[in-house]
Amino acid sequence: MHISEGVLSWPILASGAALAAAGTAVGLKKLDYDRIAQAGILSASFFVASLIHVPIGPSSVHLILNGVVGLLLGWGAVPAIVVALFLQAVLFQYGGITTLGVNTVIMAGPAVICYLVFAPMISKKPRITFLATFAVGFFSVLLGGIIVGLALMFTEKNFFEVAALVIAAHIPIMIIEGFVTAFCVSFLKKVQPSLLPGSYQ
Amino acid sequence: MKKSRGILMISMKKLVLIDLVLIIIIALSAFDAHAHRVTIFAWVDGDTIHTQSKFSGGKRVNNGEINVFDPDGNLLLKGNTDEKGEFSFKVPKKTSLKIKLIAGMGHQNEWIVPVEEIEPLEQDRLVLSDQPVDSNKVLETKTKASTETGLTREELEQVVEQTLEKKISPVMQMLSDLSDPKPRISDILGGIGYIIGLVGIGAYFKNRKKTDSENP
Repeated sequence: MHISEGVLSWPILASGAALAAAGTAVGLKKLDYDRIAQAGILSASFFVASLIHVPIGPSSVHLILNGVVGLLLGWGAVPAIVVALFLQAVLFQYGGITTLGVNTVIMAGPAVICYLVFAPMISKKPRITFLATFAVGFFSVLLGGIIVGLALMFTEKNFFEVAALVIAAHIPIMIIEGFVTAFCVSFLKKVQPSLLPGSYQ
Repeated sequence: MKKSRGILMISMKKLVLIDLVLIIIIALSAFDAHAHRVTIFAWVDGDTIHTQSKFSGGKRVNNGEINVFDPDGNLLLKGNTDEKGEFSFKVPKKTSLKIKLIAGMGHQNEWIVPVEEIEPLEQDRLVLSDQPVDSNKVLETKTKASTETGLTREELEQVVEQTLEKKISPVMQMLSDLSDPKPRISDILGGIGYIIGLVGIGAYFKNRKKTDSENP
């Protein structure tokens, strides 16, 4: 889901960068002292998650984990993801520096949206928690695919075609991310429930 | 009750530890890469340019779009890769060429073939054939070659070229593989190190704010 350098026109790159900068500012403000270490660990997890590829179906896709990061950090996910994406661009040549803003919107935007929608459902009944956390993993990837389609709409013309292609390629990863997110949360619920967003409210 | 609280107390430290260990294990086992970066590699063979395109991890780009541009950005020709990720074309123009691969879903990359790689063959030929001063010598070697081996100069050239092509193609294959650098362990650990450093910086600033507000 990383968009390479030179694909997008500059107005899209600029608006992506502006959105990402605004999100990062909000995230840094909302990130309190006690959660900085957590943000760092999740940023590192996101950074290496893209190295895990899942060879299902015709193409192989990689874990993204933006849902987990968003769920545990809320708005703090934006700076965590910016840092990880920047390092991926510099060290692995995934994505690129000019597309950093757009890629941040693709990954962190859905993370924050899923946090806002699904986090209040956590820490009720286990079944609801499972469904909500599965949905976080699932929709954070799905929404990412839709944003990729939107970003590419101006270069590859057909939004539905591109979005469908991206989403179809990521269906396995959506399901896997759903389970990973659900597993993470049920694990954290047992060992460290204070990390979960529900207990903050 | 007490017991479970005890478990909770150690679990925070343990959790961080488990997380770090997991991250490192993942990092170590992650050498098999994945579809997120495309690379294109091109080499010149006579008047033909061969290209090979693949995703990081070695998966070939099937039916990717290839566009060839001259230095001024004019589109010279267009084509699609086959299922082996290969696409070959005749040199359309004697300039340096920019070969751009568009693999869809926002993946693209390019390779530049410098003019020296396209030209020298021509120049060599010209030098060899236009030797008015040493024409006797050329004639001599030509007759010599043809008398000794029964081959004309052109045939000899062809044979040499074919053999070279055969010998060089594995090397080219290797170069093509090398042009797709996978993330190295130093990159991965370095990235994690940067993140830990940033956490330190963040904690420093936030902590200063915190202590400032506590002791105004």
